Amino acid sequence: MGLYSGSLTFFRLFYDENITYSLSEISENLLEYSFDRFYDSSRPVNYGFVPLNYPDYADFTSSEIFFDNAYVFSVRIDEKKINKKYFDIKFQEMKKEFLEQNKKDFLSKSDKEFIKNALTNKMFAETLPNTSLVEIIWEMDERQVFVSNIASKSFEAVVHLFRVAFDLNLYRDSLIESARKNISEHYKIDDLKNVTPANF
Amino acid sequence: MALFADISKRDISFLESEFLTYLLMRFFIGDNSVNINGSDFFYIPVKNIVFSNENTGEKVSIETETIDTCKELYTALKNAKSVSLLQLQLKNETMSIDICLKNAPLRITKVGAPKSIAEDYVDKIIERKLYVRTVFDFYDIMIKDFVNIRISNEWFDFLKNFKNFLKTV
Repeated sequence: MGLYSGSLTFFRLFYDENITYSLSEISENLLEYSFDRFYDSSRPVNYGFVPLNYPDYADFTSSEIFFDNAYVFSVRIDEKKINKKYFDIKFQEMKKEFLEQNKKDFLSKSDKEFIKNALTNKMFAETLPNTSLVEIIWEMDERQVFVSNIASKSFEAVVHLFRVAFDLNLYRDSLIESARKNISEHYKIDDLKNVTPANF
Repeated sequence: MALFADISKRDISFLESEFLTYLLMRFFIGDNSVNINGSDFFYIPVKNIVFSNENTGEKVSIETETIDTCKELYTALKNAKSVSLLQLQLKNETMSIDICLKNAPLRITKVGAPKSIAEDYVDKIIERKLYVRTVFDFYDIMIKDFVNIRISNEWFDFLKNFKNFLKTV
């Protein structure tokens, strides 16, 4: 599914910054903010750039990113979720063990926090993630980025990565934004905002 | 107390369904051709159209294989319902792309493109990327046309033309 085959559904994001990057700068930044570099098994959410044809091509050193005036790559997002009931059961067990091992009669607030953090880290490290890949088409000349998924988690990950890696602030497309990008006479946008609903 | 309303905070979401209705109306009055990057395309609404009435919240979903002769469609349009989902095909001599547009917020929710004829991986990506770009170019051209007509007196002539058309069906 995506650019190689299947549905071609993409959503558009814009940015206003007048910044241009060379191919080598983009390659460096993609590598620097790549998924593997940032991966931490104890974190609930991990994301980073990967090549378009990932996992056939595991890193940017051997994969193509420039396709006919656009940079094309993906963002991998791994999200881990812990079942709350299961967590509560394990939390009770760990609290008992802690009391026995430390020969204590009660747990202080900091003891509970310590156990909770240790359990959270342990469970996130052991849990398998839900993985998704978001395909990106970046048209630098048009200051627009097409993304294959715009669900809130994916959107947040892509926006964050573009901000830290390229100093670009992405925002969603809308009727007004599309009009603003395509109509140079600003008064027309103001006039549009002033119209009253039509009576069809 | 402010004498004038702050325009920037006005709810103008009604424009989204007006835009989708505009696309449908343009088709019915025979103005459904569009030039995209020097190539002539035309669009036809297909299969599924959802109408909604902003005031009552009523929704009508119409599925038809024959848009031109669908009486329910004309009834919905006569009853001042506006479009909240529109499926269409964007065509030229060599290709046909399926597009689904929705409002609240306005977006393209589905694109179905022809199978790629390229065998090489890079060529395939370039070809399919071109389809994505064609869809968004179409969308931008239509929005630009809509805005230009919507803010001018042409809008009232356009609506009059469409109402005259509805009288004939």
